Amino acid sequence: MEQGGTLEAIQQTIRQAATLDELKEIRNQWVGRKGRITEQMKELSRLAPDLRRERGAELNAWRESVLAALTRREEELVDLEERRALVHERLDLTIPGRRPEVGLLHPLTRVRRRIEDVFLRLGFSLAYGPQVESEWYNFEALNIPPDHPARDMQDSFFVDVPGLVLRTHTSPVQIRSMQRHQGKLPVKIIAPGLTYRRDDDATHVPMFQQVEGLVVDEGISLADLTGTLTVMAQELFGDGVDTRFRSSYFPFTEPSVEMDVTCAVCRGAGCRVCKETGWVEILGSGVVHPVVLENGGYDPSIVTGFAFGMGIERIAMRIFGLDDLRLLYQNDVRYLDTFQSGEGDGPGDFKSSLA
Amino acid sequence: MDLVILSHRWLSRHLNPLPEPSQVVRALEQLGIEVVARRTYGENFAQVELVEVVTRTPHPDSDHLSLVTVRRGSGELTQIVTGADNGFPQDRLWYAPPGTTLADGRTMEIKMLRGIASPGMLLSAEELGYQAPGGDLWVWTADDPLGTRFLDVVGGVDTLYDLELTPNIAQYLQSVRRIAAELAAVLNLDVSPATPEFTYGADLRVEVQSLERCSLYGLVRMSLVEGQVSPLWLQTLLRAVGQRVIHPAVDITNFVLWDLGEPLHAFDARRVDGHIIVRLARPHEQLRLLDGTTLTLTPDDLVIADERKVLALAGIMGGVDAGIAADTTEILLECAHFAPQGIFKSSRAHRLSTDAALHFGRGTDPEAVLQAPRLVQDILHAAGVLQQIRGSSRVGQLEAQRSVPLDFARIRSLLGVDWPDDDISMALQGFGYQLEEGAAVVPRYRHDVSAVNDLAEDVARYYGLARIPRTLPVQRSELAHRDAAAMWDEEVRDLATACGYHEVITRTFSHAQLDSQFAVGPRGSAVVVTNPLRAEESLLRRFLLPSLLEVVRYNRSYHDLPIRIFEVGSVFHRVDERVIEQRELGVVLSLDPTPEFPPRPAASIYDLTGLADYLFERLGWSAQRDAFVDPPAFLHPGRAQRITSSCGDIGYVGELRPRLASLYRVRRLGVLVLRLPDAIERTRSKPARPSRFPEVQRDLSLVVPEKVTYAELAECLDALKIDILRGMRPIDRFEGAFGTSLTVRITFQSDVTTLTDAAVDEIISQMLLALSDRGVELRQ
Repeated sequence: MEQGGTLEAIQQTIRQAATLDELKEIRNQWVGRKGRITEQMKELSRLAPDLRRERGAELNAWRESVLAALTRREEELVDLEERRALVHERLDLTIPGRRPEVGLLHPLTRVRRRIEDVFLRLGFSLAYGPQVESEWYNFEALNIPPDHPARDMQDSFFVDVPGLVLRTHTSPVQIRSMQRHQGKLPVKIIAPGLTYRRDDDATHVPMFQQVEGLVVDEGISLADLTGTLTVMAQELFGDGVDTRFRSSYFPFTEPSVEMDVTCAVCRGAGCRVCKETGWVEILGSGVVHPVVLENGGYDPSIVTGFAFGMGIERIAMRIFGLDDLRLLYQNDVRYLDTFQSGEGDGPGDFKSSLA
Repeated sequence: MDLVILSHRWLSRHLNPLPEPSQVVRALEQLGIEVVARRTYGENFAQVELVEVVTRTPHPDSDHLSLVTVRRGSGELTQIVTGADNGFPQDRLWYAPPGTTLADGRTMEIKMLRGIASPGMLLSAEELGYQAPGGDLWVWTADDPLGTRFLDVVGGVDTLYDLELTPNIAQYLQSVRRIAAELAAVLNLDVSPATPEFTYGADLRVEVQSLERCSLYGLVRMSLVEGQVSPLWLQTLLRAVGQRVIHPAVDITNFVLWDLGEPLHAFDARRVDGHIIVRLARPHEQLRLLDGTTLTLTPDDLVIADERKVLALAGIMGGVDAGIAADTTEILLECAHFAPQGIFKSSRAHRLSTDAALHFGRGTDPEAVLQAPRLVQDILHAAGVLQQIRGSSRVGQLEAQRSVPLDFARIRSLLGVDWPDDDISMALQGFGYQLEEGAAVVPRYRHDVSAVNDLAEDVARYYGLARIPRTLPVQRSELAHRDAAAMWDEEVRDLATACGYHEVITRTFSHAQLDSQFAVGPRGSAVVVTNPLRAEESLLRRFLLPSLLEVVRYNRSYHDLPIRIFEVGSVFHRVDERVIEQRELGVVLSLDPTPEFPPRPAASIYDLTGLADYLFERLGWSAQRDAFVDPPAFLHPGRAQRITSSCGDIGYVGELRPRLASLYRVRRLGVLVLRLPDAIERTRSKPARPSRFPEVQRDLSLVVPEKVTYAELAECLDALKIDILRGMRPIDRFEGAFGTSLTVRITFQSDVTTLTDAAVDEIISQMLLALSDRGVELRQ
């Protein structure tokens, strides 16, 4: 290719092409339909066979080599051109991103579901009862007769329908569940729901949520109660939590006990929150009173049971480290929005609250 | 809950050896008695010291003040100004130097009195909270050395425990002696022997007309030495637990009330006409009380009367007519056992919750009727207050003791323990039960014990709950289940959350005006709360929306943020005497534009109609949106739809009337309300295999007459039953001079072949022809 220079020279020209148009021109000049290498290959037929073979191999090598150089340079130029264009599309990615529009469940819903989850795993079914309840289910059936001093413990809201009251606890569901089981064993339920008492301060709201629990079967004991509730406390608050039981009184259980857990603030050392005791009460419970079993249609000489009731708010306050219950019902979206991380949703993360 | 103050010093009268306060606290807690707080009493007495008067001279500038120079324990002389008319040389007095705090809360300082400085005060007994015989200043006659602190003569600082008693324990533990007995049992200490019984005579006439209400009545007539006060130790105990000292006859009844748990009552014998009668009140009979008020009684009230008048509301409060006065020396001391229910009802009816009523209302120990007069006699005699017993009588008998079956195996199985019979017996005997073959005889004061469960509780209290093992129930396995309606609610919550809405939980209370303003469709009347905490919570809501609107108002008054909230909550209404509780989903979305970068499409009512359709689809709920014939007044008339299912109207979606929305501090507000079903047959998904042939899309710009809705347009095309029509969606809409332009993107696809342009064109022509019947035309 004496008249065009050496292969080295052609490749040099290719490497120096500054635009895709220039590159196209070079392509046409050498390997296009009328390109110089193409033309010379057409003339091969005129050569003697020996010479033709030799010359043909040489031309083919040239051609391959030029095409490869062209492709390489083309890629370089395309890349260069895009890079030049993208410089103008730069975005400031430190601007806050567009967060997916996903809502949040109320923290109390999340805590309720966690409690439900623990008990479902322990084989408890979910049961429900009406919020506007008959006085019989709310009081009498639970061994609280009309003049019983214990009625003073629960300041009730009354309604204009005779004999009905806003339930002061979820305990009426104990009776309803036993009746629904019609004597079948075991009865093993938890009953979450709204309850009402005439109280309104930083630690009491007039409407609040409870979870009731009831197990009725042959041979159910106080030890089964303390064992079950200890497992629950560990599931909700982490293995590091310590629990203790204290004698207490509820008309519908006998013996009655309250469960305390180690104070989350001082971890048992004693502080203002736990009134220097190192313990915080979280629920009331006990062995089901024989009268209650009878009212549910069970024979207390054959079966026994345990029951417990806890305020979901109190558990939530413990889990989230809150000191004012009312905020949970104020529904300030900024406040609700602060419950982003999954404390309410899984075990494990609570271990840190005690570690 | 009953609050009781327990004095550690008082415990020492009954416990030997006296445990440390921290041991007491732990044991009380084991017994089920909550110690709410621990305090001390008497610290302010530490500075009050015994001094002797050296000289007394009149104040140069005052007729009624004197200058008294006293010698203190250190030998130092101090001059104090006093207005008292006693306190002469050689008298020994109590002096409060500056810095001392008195019973009434005053703190002593150096005061200028008519130009002369007086550091602190010389004290009367009253200023220390005590009573003493004699004049103004408390002249101390005992031979304690000068400088003795008042704190030392009362026995040092006392520890007080504020106890909260649960109602069962309050039935018998409102007594220091009884608390001591339980502490002794669990701490293995000796307890003081029971007070011996008083020997009643039969020389006072007493008539009990209602033995059901008063099973035992004792009366003792006592003459007291005039001008005496209660002994110092007794005054100190009463002061420590917050009682005032008044008169030995009253103080001793207060002492016995807390020591033995037995309320006594003392009448001034001079003012009793004839004999004592325990009877039911006559209708409208009146009783003037010590505080000046007058009670009108009913035949439900038991009274103590004489032959002419009512003297006291039995077991609750005494009347003024025969009350103890400062000069009383002749008393009739009443010791009785009243039926708890009667006292509880009367005290509630008259709103009188006195200490006596609280004790009798919970139930007292009938045996105390026999013991109490002896305790009074012994203490008053020792203090030199009692001159003579001048007669006594008792009416009624002690009831036989109750017993409950004692089943050791049952106690073990209730507690879940394997403790031997002997251990269980020891616990019960420790708490005063007498054990017989197969039965435990219950102490008379234990009104709370009726069955084996109560015995089990006492055994648990005796050994402490820490000794109860912790096990999981061993049962037949059974599958736990959830409730269908509740699961439905949870699914709705999850979907609403996934769609970007925050859950709120609002109170179910409302008030009449708000409730009726947002009424939709026929619903029963509201359930009225007869004792609401506040007027705006005077009924149970029939509709969920107002509660959510209040949340909008609350939030918008604090911050200008978009609101995207929902609630699944209960609503109530009544039909005759029945209360119907239903669950509603309410969703509220503020539609006001919020500037935002990177930009987001503005919220619109289409977000809520879309949400409704999405919920129906995901829940397999056959519900649809429909035109309102007569939309409720609170909704935008042109932007609202009702929602129906096979149950009829179940809700609505739309914009709030802008004028109403502005009351909630938003310009535009979208709302969606759905009544949630208990259980429904859910439609199932219909999975379809996707075609292997490519889709063809065509965009058509149509001019649509004002009255033709998109739904009609879609319906019209559906009616053609074109099998290759896969979908249609609007992609642009605007109004021009020609009317409304709507651009729709239509997708075609065949299951059997690749569609040709010609085939699609033909279908499009068919569609346009059908649409032209409705006046819809292709935009040129």
